[in-house]
Amino acid sequence: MPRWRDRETPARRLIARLAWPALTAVAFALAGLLWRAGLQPQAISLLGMIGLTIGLFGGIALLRALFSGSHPVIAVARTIIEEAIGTRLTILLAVIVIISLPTLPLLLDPSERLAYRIQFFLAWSLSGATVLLAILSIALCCSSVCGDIDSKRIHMALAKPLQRWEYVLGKWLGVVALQAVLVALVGIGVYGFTAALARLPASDNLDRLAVEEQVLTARAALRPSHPSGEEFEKSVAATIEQIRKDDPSTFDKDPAGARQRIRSHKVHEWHTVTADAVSTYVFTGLEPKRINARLLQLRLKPFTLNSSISDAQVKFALWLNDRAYPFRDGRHEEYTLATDMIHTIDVPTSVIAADGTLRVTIENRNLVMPGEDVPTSISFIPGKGLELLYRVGGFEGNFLRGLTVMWAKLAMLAAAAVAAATWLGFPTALLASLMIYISAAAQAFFADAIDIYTGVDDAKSTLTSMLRLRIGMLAETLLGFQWWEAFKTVGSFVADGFLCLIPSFGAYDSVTQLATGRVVPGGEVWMALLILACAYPLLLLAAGWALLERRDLVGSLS
Amino acid sequence: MSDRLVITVAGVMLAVCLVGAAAVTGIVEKQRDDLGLVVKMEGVEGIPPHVAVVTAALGTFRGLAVDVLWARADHLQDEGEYYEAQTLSEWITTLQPRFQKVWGFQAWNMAWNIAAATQVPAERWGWVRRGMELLRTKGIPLNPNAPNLYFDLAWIFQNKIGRVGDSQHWYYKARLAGEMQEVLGDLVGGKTTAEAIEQFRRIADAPDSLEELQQKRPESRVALDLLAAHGAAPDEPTLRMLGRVLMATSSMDAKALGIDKLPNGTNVGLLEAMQADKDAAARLLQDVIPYLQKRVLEDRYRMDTAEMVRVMERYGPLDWRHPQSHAIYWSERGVEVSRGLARRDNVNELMLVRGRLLMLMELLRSGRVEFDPMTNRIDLLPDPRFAGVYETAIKEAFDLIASDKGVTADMFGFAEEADLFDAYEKFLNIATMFSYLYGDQAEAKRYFGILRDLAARRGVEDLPVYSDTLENFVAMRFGGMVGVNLGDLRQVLDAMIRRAITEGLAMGDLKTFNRFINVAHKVYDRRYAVSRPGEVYVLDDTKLVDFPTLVSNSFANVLRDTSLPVLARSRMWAWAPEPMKAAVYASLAETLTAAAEAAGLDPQRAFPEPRKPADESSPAAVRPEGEGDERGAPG
Repeated sequence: MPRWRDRETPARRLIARLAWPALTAVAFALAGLLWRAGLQPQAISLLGMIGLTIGLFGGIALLRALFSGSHPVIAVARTIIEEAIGTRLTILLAVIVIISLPTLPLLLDPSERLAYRIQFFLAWSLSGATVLLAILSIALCCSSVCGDIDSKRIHMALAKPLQRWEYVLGKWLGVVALQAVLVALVGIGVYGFTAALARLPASDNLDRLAVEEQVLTARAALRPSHPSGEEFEKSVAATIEQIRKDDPSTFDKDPAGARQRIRSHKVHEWHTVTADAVSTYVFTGLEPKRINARLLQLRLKPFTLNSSISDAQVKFALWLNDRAYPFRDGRHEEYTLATDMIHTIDVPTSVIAADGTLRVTIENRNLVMPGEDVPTSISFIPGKGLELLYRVGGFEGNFLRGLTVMWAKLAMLAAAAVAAATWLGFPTALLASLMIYISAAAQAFFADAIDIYTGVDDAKSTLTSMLRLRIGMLAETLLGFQWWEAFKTVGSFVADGFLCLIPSFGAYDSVTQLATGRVVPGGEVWMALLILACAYPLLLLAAGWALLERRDLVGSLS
Repeated sequence: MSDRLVITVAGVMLAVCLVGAAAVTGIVEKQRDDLGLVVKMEGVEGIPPHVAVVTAALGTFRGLAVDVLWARADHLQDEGEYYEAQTLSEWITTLQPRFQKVWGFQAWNMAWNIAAATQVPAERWGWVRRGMELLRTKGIPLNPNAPNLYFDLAWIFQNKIGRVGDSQHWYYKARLAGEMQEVLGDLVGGKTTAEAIEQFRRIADAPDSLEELQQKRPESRVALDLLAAHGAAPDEPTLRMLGRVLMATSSMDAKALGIDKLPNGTNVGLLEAMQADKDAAARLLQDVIPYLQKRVLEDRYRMDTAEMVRVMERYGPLDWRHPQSHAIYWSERGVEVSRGLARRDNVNELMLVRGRLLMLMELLRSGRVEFDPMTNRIDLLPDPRFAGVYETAIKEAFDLIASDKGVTADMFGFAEEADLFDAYEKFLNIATMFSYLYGDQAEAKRYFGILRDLAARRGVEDLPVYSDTLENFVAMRFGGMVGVNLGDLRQVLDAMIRRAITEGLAMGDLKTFNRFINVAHKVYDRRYAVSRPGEVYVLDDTKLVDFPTLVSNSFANVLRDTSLPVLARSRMWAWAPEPMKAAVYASLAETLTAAAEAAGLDPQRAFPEPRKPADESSPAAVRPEGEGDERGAPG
């Protein structure tokens, strides 16, 4: 190579200094050209990419400023941040985020309802960013720690007045700080594009209303209050007494279980509207002034009882605080809904009484279905089958809370990756960390799948009952020489045990909450910070430190 | 030694696994081919680039990606969230383009399940449309040899839109009618079968491209220049704009409401130019419009216009605003594809035949579309023109069953004649009724004769409905149709007169009005004892008033009926004969005025005072023996 290419000439320095501003200017010019050519969405996307790139550089500069101290932990954190900036993987993933985030709105079908487009964008941009940042964090932690060990750099680091626990903590802290910057960047980008999307024309007025009151908002779910706790308890007690008299042997075999079943049955009964009957469900604690929205959403998931017809519909009339609803053209209209599906009925906020209650009265108007001889009852699943969604806050605060939960999950993954890298080789540490991530993200799915696979699927089972069942199954299969079934049972033990140790990210699904306009409660945020960002990292980093303390770093290299 | 043992055992296991894998590979490949799970990259036509790229890029992980998408779609749907439903459907079908059941399921899921989850009619229609579009624009073009996809699309038209199971079915019907009328106008109203088909053939025979249009019809250049001069292009938006203008100017409801402004987005300059230059306007309507209509049908709706003509020649004057017409078209396409399949026993041809007959029955019962775009009012009325078509179709079906080839019935082997008797009996009942009610006595007698023969074959010829006269049959069937007590003659007569008013006067169809009045008069005159076979009449003279008063009373009751929209009552008033109006005006003036004002109508326009007839002694316009005029200006 010619020597002049290696020399740091003034010209090269000038070019290096001007390169980025020049590129930025060119990009702005291109955006302007696109705008004038009538390609506004494309221009906005390009401007978004420019903004994210500038933000990334700004964030890096901020990190460098924050981690400029001399404390050992800060120093270690600073090195991993510099590593991150220098590695191709980080740059590649950052580029993917910067390009894909602004491009996603362009891929949305313009004929789709605006509310759906915004929801889709929120869900996929935040989920996609979470996945990319998770991969980045895991790869960075593993490559940094394993790289230090494999290349013997760790000796030089530990030769200084640096304790091993400070090393482990510093690595984690650096990645967590980088994650915070990237999450903030993603957050600004997603928020900006969401706001831009919200300005687009909606399909119709209802679509616009849905955008404002069901998507870009924070809604909480309210379930109906049981009419009278004392009365309910008396009713349960009376039923227990009756069953005890009628069938004492069955009751005495499992009294606690029988009581639970009776209680569940009573709750289910309360959620059922029999034919030609009227039931009232009271929602309390609503404050119309604080709600600050025109509509509430009543979500119902009805079932028909007393009917063998699988696609039977339910027909009912609705009253809200004793006012017929809806009342159109002088008629109280009925609802006819498909069963086993969630239906949303918009309810005006103005119907809430001054004391903050909303009485929802449902009159069963089902006819006798063909082939049946009694009219059907309408039943709602206790809990999600009958709830009211009402606005409790704005989108912006909710969005911030959602990002915080997202960051807490990444912090936990970083701790797992650092801990894994302290005692495993790079490929193994990477795979182990990815396995932890996938298990955390899909924990509920895996738990269900294992149960179904081993044939012990039971929604009402407890840990004790499952253990008892599985041990019984294992003994049975061993005695029956059913080796494959026994193997499956043992495997399910191991898998369940592993899943028990991993937190479920599904319990902190802030992305879906944001996309569906549901509130990310403060309690959930605090729990995420406490458990995912503090407790788990503490345990994992402690384990990593313990393993690093015991590891013979010299011997591991030979 | 132990290392050697380990190596030996591992080697043997490797060999066993390889042999086992080789043994099952063939079976697995065949299953994948049979189920259409494989998207071969070589020599495949019609796969869009994005499908090919994604399929090649994902490779073996395509199945995993599909599983994840399915799980997500299911989960969100369970939670009542549908914002990703369309996109996930598209991605799933993109990843499994040759798996027919996926297309069918996704389309059905959107059109039925997701649509049912919303109470907003426009949103429901949106989901039904998405289901249709998924099959029409993607599923079928990617799988042109999959008959089930055609039948799935036909089913959406036939069942979801055409039937009454969905509470919003009228909304769907109105939207479909409006959309098609914008493109085609009303091609069949008031025409004979031959005229309707000839009218459509002009569209099918239109040139396929603008170049061809200008080449074959150089005179069309005048029209194209006219469009260009007023900022309009020869494309779908222009066609729909002109269609909307036509709909607005011919709307009866618009006249009643006093609306005379043009729809939003009308190119007023173009309309004025068309009025000024009649020659250019004529060229536009005769040359350019048929070309545009053809392009929209073929490009947007993916319907082959030549095939549409063939279907009309076979099935009669199909009104493309009617959902059953589309159902028939797509079903016919599916039958054509299935006939080319090697394995006929996989197809239940009897079900196809029954489905076709059912669609024709629906057209017979309701094939005449009455649609007013200004108020989105739609009604589907009987169309006796389809009686002959149905008769031909069922005779063909009988011949096919009796032929050597037979008609397959899937696992039940081959079909028999008796499998279609129920359908034939239903048809004959309706054909007899409609022919009688709509004026073709000779046809009514002929159908009744065939029906009695069929009843004899089935051993039910002694039933009163079949064993007495034709008029008795009509009265009994009519009573059953309108759900009245056959022993109450007054009720039967009132029902018939109401029918005359709601199907005749409300639609401006005096012919229909007079037919029903004729029937009512015959029943009144004959004094049928419909609930007691063997007796000729049970009429109690002291209980029934004279016939004209009967008609006036029923008319007054209908006008007082607050469940009927005021606009509908206004139309009935507009078309009612003057003597009928004069008979009831005095007692109803106040009620009608209040109703009009409550509905925001001008009472003088909605319910104008009747002109005094020359002879006030008899309601001259109620002409039991004569035929009324075709639609003319309202009274």
